[in-house]
Amino acid sequence: MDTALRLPIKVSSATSTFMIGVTAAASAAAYFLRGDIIPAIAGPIVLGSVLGALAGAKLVLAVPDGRLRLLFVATLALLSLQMALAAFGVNLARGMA
Amino acid sequence: MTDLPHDHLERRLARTLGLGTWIGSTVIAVGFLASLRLPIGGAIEMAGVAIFIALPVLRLALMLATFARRQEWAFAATAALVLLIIAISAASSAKPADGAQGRSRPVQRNSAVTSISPTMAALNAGRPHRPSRNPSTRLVSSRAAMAS
Repeated sequence: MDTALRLPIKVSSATSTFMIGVTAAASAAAYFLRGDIIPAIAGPIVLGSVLGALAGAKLVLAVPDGRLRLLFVATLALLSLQMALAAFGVNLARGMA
Repeated sequence: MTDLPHDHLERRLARTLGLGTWIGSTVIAVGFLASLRLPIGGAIEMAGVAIFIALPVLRLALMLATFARRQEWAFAATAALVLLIIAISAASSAKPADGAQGRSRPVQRNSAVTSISPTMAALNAGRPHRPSRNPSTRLVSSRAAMAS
């Protein structure tokens, strides 16, 4: 969205967050009714997500566009590195915890 | 026309979602703390998760009612369509869980999750063990997977 539609990064990230919410709503109820949600994992994830969402909403308004893009790319790079390592059985969190 | 109707809806939605998020977070936090000592903690956490799942649905219902009252039928129809899709997806996948909570087929579940989200696929790839059938051991193995 950012490059193809030339939207400002704040607009594109807000739109994608909103769309993720709508699409997730359709499947969340299904997983819940199937009993596929594990409370011991879901609980902490929800609390962390709410805190992150609050912090992120404040950050988006405070940080200028250019730096926000840099922050976003850096976060994604870090996450993708962690995922790639996890695929090979290496866990970064173990070293840091 | 002292007050734009658009404004009103947005503010009401924001208040509903904000309040719901706080209530849900509180319930989950209470459940999480309770789960450290009591066996019912998990159930309280699930109630909190249910609140979070209900929030966007509530939002859609609120929008549908507001658009219908304003007689903006195109928007009302869109909201109704999304609600319908959620209802269908919930109804169609609720069947296997009838009276068999936690007895879902792990292989099928994993493939469904993988097809929906690449993130989950990556997480599953990093997981040393497949979740087992029994909910309690599944919990333990997931915890072990998270710890390792």
